[in-house]
Amino acid sequence: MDLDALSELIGYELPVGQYCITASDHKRTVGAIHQENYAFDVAHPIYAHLAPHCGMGFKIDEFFDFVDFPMDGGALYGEGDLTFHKQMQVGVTYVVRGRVASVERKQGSRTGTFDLITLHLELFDSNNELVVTSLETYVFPRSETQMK
Amino acid sequence: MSPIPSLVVEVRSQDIETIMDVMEDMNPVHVDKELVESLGLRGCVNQGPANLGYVMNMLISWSGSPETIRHLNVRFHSISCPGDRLEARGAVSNLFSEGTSCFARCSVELVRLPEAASEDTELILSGTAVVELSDDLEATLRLSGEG
Repeated sequence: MDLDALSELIGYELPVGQYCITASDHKRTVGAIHQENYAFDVAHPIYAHLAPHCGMGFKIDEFFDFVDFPMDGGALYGEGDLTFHKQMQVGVTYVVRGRVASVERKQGSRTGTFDLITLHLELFDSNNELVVTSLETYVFPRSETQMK
Repeated sequence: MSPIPSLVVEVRSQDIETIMDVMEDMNPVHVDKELVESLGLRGCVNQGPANLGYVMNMLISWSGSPETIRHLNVRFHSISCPGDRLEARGAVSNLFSEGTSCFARCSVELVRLPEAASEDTELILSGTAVVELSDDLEATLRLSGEG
């Protein structure tokens, strides 16, 4: 994907999605981050990333297709910014709205050319109140052929 | 700067697979050893959100509740891999008030602990957090000279 095509992605509104923090997934998730004894009334704050990310209108493979990047190309999560407006609850389904906030092509001395693509995702409850704002930036290393 | 009690965890392969399953994350960098070698990575990649979760756990343990975390901004500098021992660290930078609530602005980081004494720690992520303080924790920090 050349730089012009990449820049045209800015502002693109993702399809509206939704995500339910199920009790079973929540239990598995907190166990996987060493919080097996988590016993609070609200969902673990890691869901401020997981719920918007997993509920956005793209599955991860569709997102990779969208930015013209192969699944095995070594993309990584580069930066995260989470703002908690309300607490998240287990067993509740949230609506996710999002857009491409920014794209940037950079050159690293060790890494070569890579793209930074930032998604602005928002999680809303059933009253349409904002629960979480999540900015997630992904790093896409680009080979010469991928930049055309 | 008052330090926040640190938290040490070990990255486990089965946890990476669990997070992949929960996130429906099919990115092979998490499990394909040949691929990560060809990409020049030192091992299969633990999910960034898991690294973020360890930092959150440190903040929850310190503040007493997950409801206290109001904002978190992190940048990932390196990857963590199965078998790594990681330490989540933090320190209070300053206190501020909004209405009747008191908040701590904190620096946070996650480092990979060295396997041998001759090695250095490796920075996995760094960032900042805003945490709402209980009355007790605010009093403790003010007594220690914060704010």
